[in-house]
Amino acid sequence: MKLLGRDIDARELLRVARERLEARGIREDARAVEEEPEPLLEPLSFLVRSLESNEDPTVGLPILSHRTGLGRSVVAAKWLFRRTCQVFINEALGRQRLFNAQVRDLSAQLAAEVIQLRARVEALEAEKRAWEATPRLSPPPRRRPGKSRR
Amino acid sequence: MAVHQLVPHFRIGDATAQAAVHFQALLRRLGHWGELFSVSQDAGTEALVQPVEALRVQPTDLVLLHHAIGSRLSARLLHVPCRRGVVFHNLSPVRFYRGTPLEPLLLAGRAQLTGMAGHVDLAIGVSEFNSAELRRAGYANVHTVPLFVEPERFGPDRADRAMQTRLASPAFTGVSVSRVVPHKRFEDLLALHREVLRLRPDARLLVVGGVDRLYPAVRALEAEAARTPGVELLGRVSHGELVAVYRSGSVFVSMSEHEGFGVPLLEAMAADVPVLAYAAAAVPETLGGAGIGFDEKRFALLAELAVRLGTDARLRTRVVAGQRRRLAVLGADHSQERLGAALQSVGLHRPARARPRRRRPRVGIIVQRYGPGITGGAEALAAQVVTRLLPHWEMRVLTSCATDHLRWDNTLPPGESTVDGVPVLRFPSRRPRPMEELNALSRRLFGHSLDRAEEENWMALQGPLLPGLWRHLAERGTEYDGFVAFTYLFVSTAWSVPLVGDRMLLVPTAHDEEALAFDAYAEVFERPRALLVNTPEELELVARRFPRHARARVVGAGVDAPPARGDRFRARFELPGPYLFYLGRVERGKGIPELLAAYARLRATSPHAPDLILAGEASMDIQEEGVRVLGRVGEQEKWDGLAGALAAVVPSAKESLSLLALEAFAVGTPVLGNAASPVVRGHVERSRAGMAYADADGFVEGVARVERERAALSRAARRYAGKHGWTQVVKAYREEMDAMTRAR
Repeated sequence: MKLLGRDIDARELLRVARERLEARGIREDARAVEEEPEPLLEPLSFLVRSLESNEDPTVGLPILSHRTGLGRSVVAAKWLFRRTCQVFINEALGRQRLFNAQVRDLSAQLAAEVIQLRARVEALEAEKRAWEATPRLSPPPRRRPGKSRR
Repeated sequence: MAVHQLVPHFRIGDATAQAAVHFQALLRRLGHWGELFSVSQDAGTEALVQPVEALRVQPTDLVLLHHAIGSRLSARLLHVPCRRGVVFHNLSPVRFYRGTPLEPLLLAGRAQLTGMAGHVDLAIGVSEFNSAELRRAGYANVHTVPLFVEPERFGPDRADRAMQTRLASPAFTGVSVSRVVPHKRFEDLLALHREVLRLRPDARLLVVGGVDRLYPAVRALEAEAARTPGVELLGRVSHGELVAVYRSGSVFVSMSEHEGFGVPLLEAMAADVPVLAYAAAAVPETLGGAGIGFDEKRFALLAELAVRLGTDARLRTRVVAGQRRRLAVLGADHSQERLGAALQSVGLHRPARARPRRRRPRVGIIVQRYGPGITGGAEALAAQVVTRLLPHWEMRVLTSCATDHLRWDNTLPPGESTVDGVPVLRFPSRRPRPMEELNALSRRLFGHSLDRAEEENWMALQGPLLPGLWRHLAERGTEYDGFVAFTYLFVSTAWSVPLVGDRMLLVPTAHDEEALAFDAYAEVFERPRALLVNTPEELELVARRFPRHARARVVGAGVDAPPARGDRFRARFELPGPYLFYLGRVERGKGIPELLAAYARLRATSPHAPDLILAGEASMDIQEEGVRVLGRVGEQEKWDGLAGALAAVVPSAKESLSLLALEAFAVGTPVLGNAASPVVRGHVERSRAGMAYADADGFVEGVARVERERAALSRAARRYAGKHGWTQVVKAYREEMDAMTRAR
């Protein structure tokens, strides 16, 4: 373990602490810390995927509650509501389900077009940069204007 | 150009809300005006923060989004028709929230972060760690502007006494401040505490912050904490209680595995508690070598270290001294410099001033209300200053559309007009002042230590909120050579001072009132070029409260009394006998109830007691025997009334000048003043032309003395008034304005 700090003698502090642990007969391992870089999400693809997973409004979100004690009965009530009323939920949200599916398809189509266009623009820009960087022959000297020989 | 800020949810006490309020303060200091907008907010913050639907921009404005969670504000930002920026506070790691309702919001936040990259002009990370993520996400113009705390708000005098007493204990005390949510690793705090208990069986662990019971794991931890000796989950606490908790701690501990900045680390430093923190994400950068960071969670070893750090006086002193040094570096000035550089990169900088050679300086007079028939001490003083300086300065009054001092209703038309030959530019108030809400908030806040957002929220509620004035100062302030602002208390002045403080003379009209305890007012007294105070007592008060105040000069006001005849007043109002005279608003805040009680004692002790005449707008129902309420009286009637009185009565305990006392002296009338007001007491003592009463008996005694010695007191009054002429006052204002314009 490393200690960070400008105002301490880290080595000395650790040495004394370790000695005390040994004197107490304690040996221990460090708790493993899960280090995982956070994902960089491309927004268009993410949103299309997100739309897909949330397109059906008749499917409820996980039933959770921050309440404790008797308040937890709300969770049971929600569960009971879903079990008994799902058929009505489906009825009420049928058109919304169709609409969501169309929004999903439209978004997927548009996102695909944008991604393709971006790639095309990038390719063209790369081509342009390469063309600008290529050495070219100087243009041939222009002929002096003279009298026509005719 | 304005710099507006968007905050997804504005909750006082939250880091993003605090950051937005701090940024707003820095922006004002940098000469930029802007407002706060949110999707949702705490009830009672509507004056400070507006719904995002109210956002209106001009093409040169900049809108900054504080991004810390997925919200619909990122979509809004992409389409605001002006310059755009992101302030990135980082997002909690998704891996801690899989399968919870927060997961989609965090993922959306990450996607929005990448999505905004190509569409903003400015990206600000509140730490280098966050800035690195911004660059990784494709942002180009990235700047780091660290968050900061105001150390004075964490001093020993700011701790809530009740909480401090409750927590007082010689036991080793670990303190942690964070919401109990998965990535803060509350389980590791418990593991460390269990190890500390082996060394110190009476040890305590105090945790401040809401417990998010939505997560089953958190609920289990809460139950585990309840079973572990010495653990106390304090939940959300007030600012004063927070300071008490910090100051009760032997060590501040953070086991969090992700911090985009870590404001509690700085708060602990400001409260002089040694910090022991897991060096995750931006933590090492925030610590900057102060405190102790560690890179592995070996709990038994950390317990040894924590106990040593909390109990070894030499080690603790050394660490705390290092933390103070770190705080001095990471202060508001540092953040202001960084924010200024960031704004410059998008072309936002304080416009340079040309130095026009003008015969008469062009001066903006900033005052909360202005116009004929508007009464009030500061407003009357402003009007007199304008009249007297008109031959010397080219003036323009910048004020509200209000005539009413309670609600700031927009009764007068906005825009340009002229009052007695003086150009006046009026700005409408964004919302009326809700007096009941303000009074309720005042009762809740006054006398307690507060954080900046709470103070600014109170100030906003107090009003008058004049966004047009601040835009005018930010965009066209350079057209003025100088400003004179009246009354520190109202945001029309308080939020204008940082914008143009380098060219401002402030007439604070301060008296000892609860709001003066707010730290947010410090810059109002520190940033102007000079303070023109009314009395030596006011200067003493300001110096006591804000020792770093700007250079101050006692100027006051002049009084030139016209010829006055008491007999005319007596005849007009049918007053055969002697009378005591009060002039001003007849309301509780002016000490009228106490005056009536003292007067009742006088009537009880003396059957020939003089009448008590109250002249002024009344908001109280008064039926007492011998008391007459005249309502508002004319200017000449005022002077006649004063001249004919046995004595003028000044019952208000909160005076910064007491124009009434000076006017009474000017017509040779003695003054009976409330001794609770240092200003009135000072006038009476210096003039020897009256008496200050501390209670009803003192009042009775004072009246008796005035009856006995009126002639001598009257001579003393005239002598004193002779020293307070407009000639001296005008000279002082001109000298200060000339010095200011010459200095630039």
